[in-house]
Amino acid sequence: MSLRKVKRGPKVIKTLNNLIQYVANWARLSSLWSVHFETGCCCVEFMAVSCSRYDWERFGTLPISSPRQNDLLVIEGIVSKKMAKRVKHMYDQLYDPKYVIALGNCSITGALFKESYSIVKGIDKVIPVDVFVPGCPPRPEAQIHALRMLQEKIRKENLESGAIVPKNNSESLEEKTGQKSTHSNKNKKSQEK
Amino acid sequence: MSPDLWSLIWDILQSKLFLELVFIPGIAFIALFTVIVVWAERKILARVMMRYGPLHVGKVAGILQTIADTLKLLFKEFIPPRRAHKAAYYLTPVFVASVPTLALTAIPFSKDWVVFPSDLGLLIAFAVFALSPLLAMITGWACNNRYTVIGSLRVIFQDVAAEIPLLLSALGVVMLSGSFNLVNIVESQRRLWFAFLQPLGALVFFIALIGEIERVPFDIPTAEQELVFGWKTEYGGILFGLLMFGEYITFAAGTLLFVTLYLGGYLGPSFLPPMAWILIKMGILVFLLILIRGAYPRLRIDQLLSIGWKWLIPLAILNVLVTMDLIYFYPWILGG
Repeated sequence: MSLRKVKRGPKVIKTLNNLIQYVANWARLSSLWSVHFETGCCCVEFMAVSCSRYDWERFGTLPISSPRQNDLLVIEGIVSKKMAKRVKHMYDQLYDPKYVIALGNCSITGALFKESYSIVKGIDKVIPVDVFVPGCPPRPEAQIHALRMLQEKIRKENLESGAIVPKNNSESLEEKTGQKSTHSNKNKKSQEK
Repeated sequence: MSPDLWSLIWDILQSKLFLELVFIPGIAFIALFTVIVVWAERKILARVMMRYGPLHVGKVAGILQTIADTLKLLFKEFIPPRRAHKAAYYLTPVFVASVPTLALTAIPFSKDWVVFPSDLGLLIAFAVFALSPLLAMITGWACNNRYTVIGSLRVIFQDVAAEIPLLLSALGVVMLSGSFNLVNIVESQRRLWFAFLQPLGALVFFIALIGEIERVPFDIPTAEQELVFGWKTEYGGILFGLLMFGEYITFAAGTLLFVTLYLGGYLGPSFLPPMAWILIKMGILVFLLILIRGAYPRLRIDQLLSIGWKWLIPLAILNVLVTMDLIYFYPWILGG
């Protein structure tokens, strides 16, 4: 659910709309309650990132078991064609706005099991994915980095730049980390090459 | 506007009832309690598990975490399930969040600071507690989901097992003070708190209270590993926020009732106002309950029922008998 964009009208309403959107974005990125869909070994790393030492509750996530109350779906591991229906079902059960992180090579491309007849080669063929985290399995640091990237993405969502957020904010994360963001399919494919 | 209207508004703003309804124990107190306790719970539980807990939202120790959560729930959508009873689905969260506030009206925050002073204040609080399983049952039935129905059935089982020892152990306090009026009960603890006069009753009341407010050793209706989220499974968005809000108001009312009955309520040394004393005691009790949540695993429903029926009720009846005995044969123990 995104606030409606104001196309025409006085500048005050535009600014007000932008302000509400900014507050909504801040609230959404600061409390990404998460549920994980585990089909493979990556879920062990996900447990590590929820526990002490890596603890991603620091950034405001909270594991809650019902999909109705969650914002973030983490797909971990290999997804077979039979399982893909369930993934879709699970995604539909989440209420908007919802975000997806694909964890591990298997869920991104099918990796080791790519040649198999029963494997979905990339979970983004079934549901939209916000952040891909490569690795077999990805380190907890990589998962926290993915969460931060998702937060940066949500921060700019449906926001007309210039009003509240400075225009050069889009490159801030890439400058900080020295890495290219993997938001889109395009970048993902270029990384694989 | 005419000066009469202004003076009327000024009178209303100055009246004690307005202050009580807006500040303490009204809207401001409830909202602040929920915001602070949810944040503190996440921090303390994280510390128990050797984590940091919320840290980066709001710069200092994640202090804005609960506000961000609430705002997010406000901006999130909610869809009733296809086969749900729509009216009940939409309305029950409002009642779940508003009915427990009635229990706060009976609690004295100082000698003359009670919203609804009554000679039956204790019974009012218990009557409000007794309404919660009904609301949970309607919620679970309205969603038309197997998990919610099982969860709401468990609420009924649990509340029957917890409510009876709760009432029976409070009977001892009533016998000692000779009144159902909560102000009289607090005033008769000036010599010695009732927690020391009847430790058994206090223990039974405490355990039954945890069952009544569905905190962790007894949070069987929302058991996350068995039922997805119990009777709250189908709720998302701000409706879920209202359900959690209601849960924390019940938490506040339960701890305040325990403090009032057994820990001397608003009594304390005079360098702090009485309202501060009751809030300090309540804070310590809330901290203890959060630590209990971090330390103990959940019981099964049959274990809870056997504790409730086989231990808590006989112990509460024993407590009543011992109290009768004390009052009849050794009245000097109670201060004549």
